[in-house]
Amino acid sequence: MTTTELPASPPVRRAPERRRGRAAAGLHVVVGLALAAGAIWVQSFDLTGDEQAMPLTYVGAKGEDVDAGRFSVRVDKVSTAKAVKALDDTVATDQLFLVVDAAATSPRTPLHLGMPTLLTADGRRFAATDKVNKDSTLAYYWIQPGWWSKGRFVFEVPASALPGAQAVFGLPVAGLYTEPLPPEAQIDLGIDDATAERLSSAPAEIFDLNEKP
Amino acid sequence: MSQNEPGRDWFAPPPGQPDNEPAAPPRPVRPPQPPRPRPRRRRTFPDQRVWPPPAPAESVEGATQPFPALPDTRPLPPRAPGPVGGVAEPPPRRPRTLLMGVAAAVALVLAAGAPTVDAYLFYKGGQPSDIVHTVAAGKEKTFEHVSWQASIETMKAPQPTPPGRQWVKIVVTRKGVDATGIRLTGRPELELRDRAGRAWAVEITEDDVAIDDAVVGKPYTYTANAVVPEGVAGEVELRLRPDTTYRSDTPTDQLLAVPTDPAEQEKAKHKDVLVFRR
Repeated sequence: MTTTELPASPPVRRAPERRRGRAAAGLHVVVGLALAAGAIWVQSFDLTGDEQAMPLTYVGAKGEDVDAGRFSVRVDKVSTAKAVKALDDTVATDQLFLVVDAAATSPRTPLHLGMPTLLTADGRRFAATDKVNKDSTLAYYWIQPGWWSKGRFVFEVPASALPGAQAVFGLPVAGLYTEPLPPEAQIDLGIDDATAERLSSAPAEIFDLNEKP
Repeated sequence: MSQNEPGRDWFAPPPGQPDNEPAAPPRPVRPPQPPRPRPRRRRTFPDQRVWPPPAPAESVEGATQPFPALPDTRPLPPRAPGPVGGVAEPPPRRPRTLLMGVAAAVALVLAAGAPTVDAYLFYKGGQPSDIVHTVAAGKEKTFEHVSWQASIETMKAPQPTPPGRQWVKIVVTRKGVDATGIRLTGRPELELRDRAGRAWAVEITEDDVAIDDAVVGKPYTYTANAVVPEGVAGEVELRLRPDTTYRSDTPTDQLLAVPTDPAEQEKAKHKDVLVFRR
């Protein structure tokens, strides 16, 4: 049998290589731990149950069509009165009735608006007044695709709430099931100090809600 | 007589038996076999070197590893200057950039997709998709013990209406086709839809559905109104969602009973919709 030369087996240089391999493995462990920690940290941005129930707010100003996704709202006019007449009832207040003329439409499905709230410049919130029946407000009418339904909402507020006030429109609260991130439209009523002064100093005696807006 | 007789081997046969085994019975004689084919000449293999392993059958130029200098007439490739009798370089690792990129993309899609799919399934659990049953124009459809028919026509606005909106009158006729059908008197949900998928509300204004003295096969009607944009008044179709679970003869104390039968629970989701073509 013929013998061939054995491949000259390379001697060595094994130790540094192994050291390099160990260093690389250590680096990989650190990187892996960092990635895992990052993944857990990212979880902290997840919304809690309460945050899930909070609305998704679309912001706009008076006169603009504010598209909140499932519905659009527009505030046409703002006025004040000392008393409002709904159907045959006239109710008075020692504060101010702030009457918001609004219009709404929906892109796809018929729906109703919920009663809005008034958000003042200093963060206070006022519910729409319960002195006026819902049937006399825009919340009564179907909001449907194809046209803008017009109506009014009435708030009973002190004069100090007027400057910088915003109206917040949303969908009615439906039953037991709370929808995650329901849409709402927050519309600046455009009341600056001068307008607030005029609205609070000269309210109408009676605002008739039976008149068509 | 003791079994353990001294002097006798453990495995020796008992004393009464002769030590010598009887001659084995004669082997069965093999039947005559056909003559075997003559064995072919065996193939002979040449000697093969197995150790040390032979050099790979590769050209010298393509080699990635130094191998022993074999007697070769060709000149050796030029060598990079380096330590003589040099170090065996480990084979260079192939770059895995593409593999890593694909793996990262797949991981990202999974990480984002799995919770999304989960949330969607949860949502669908509460809002199952409709099961649509189409009814040809003017035809009648029997569904769950009740036969339904519908007609849509435009009508004069009963109250001042802004321009561009059209009032529509809808008449829905129901017939109970059996004893169960006349008891399923729950009001159906009505809706008008155009081809683009926009929907309008339909309000039932009156009905003459008999509750207690209903007759099988007798038509009863719901009259309903709706307002739609003028442009789609001719194309809107009625979608009718029958109430297939409420029975008018349910005892009062069972009105709020939650169904326990899975089939009834499935029915209570009211997924079926009749669409009346025009």
